[in-house]
Amino acid sequence: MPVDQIAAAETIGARIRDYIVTNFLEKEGARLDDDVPLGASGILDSFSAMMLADFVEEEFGVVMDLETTPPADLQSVGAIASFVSRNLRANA
Amino acid sequence: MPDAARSVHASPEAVRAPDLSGFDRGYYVGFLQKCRFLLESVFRLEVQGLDHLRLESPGILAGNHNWGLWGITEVLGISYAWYLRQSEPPDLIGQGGPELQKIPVLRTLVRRAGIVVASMPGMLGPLRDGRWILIQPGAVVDQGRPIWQRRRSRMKKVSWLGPERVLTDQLAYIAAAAEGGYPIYPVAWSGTHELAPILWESTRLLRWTGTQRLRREENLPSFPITLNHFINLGLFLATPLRHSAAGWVGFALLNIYFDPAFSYPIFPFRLRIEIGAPIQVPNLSGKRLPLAERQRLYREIHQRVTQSVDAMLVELDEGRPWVRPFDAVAEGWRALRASKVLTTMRCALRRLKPSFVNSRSTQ
Repeated sequence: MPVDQIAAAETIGARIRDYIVTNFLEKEGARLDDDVPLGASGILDSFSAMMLADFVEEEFGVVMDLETTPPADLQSVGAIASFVSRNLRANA
Repeated sequence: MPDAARSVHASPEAVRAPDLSGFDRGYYVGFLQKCRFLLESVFRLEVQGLDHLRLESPGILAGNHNWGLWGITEVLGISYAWYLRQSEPPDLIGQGGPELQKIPVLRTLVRRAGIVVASMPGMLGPLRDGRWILIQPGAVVDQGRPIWQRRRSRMKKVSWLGPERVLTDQLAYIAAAAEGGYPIYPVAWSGTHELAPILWESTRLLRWTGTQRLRREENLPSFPITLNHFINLGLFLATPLRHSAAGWVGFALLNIYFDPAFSYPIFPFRLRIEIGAPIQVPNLSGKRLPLAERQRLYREIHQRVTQSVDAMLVELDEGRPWVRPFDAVAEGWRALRASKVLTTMRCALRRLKPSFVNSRSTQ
């Protein structure tokens, strides 16, 4: 992936991570790595997944349809950030 | 990734109702009638607050959940009161964990009783069909709390940051209520924890025993250490099996992986249920409220539900003085930890240990 795209994905990832940590973990400053499986760790359930989808749409203007988006794209902070980054480039 | 769910912003037609084809109200009511002796004479069921219910429009019954296997009695108790102590009530659809749909024999009853897997569609579909929802949002997190925390609900979900357990408010049912302005009726269940008291909960044991991995779908918050474990140990030590390694292995396996071995009833109990006054929830359906504002509102309503449930739990706990010794022990332990006696003892032991090791090495 080109450097600028990596940087964009990292910035997007940071914002997604902040949102998850603040709203779903309620622990400011908690360490959440990009590859932590969000479903398996209990961080995301059906409700919080919807809230995250709403956040992504509100924050980045990217629609994250939980029914049609491949699960692999939603598995971790890193995967979601890549998904958003790809969609932003496609929409640009 | 958890099961896919539609956004609450989806149109009503887009919300896929859960599969209720197995729901058989007539069968379930008949089953509850057969449970009359069990519920009224053995569990001495007591239900207050049915007069709060406004059955003409859908609502959500939401409250705490108590210990393990006996949690099923809470669902039976409220269902019994719902269908047999009210005149022509609407259907009551329960929200349960996915594991309930997989246990042989039980899953048939679960489906016929109208218990679906807890999810947004699982709640929204029935509500939009004019049915009521029964949910215990804390689920296994609430069930795992020790007996001296019985007066305080734990309607939270558990997440894991590596080995660290994080508990956060379970807000899904509030979001469902807000999708139609459905009122939430707080419900307090009291008594089931007395059957087989949980004395402590351990996240370390949950990991060390592999239970967390084995029962990943349930997302357990901890491993419960019950009074039964100690009774079992006492009984085991009184048998010749204590002299054999196989005996110890069998004892350990049974007391770690076979739930009924450490949750069989020890004490009689009275199942007491109280339904509180409804908490009105604004109808946010179709409204594009900023996400932060929506979350703030959810938390506020959840706080009110929790306070109402906890107030009822305190009230229901009155008149159960025999449970107080557990509180006294817990209080004593907390005081001991706060008094730094344990820290002092640990420091003293650390100072002693090097001299002990040195004296052994010179022998």
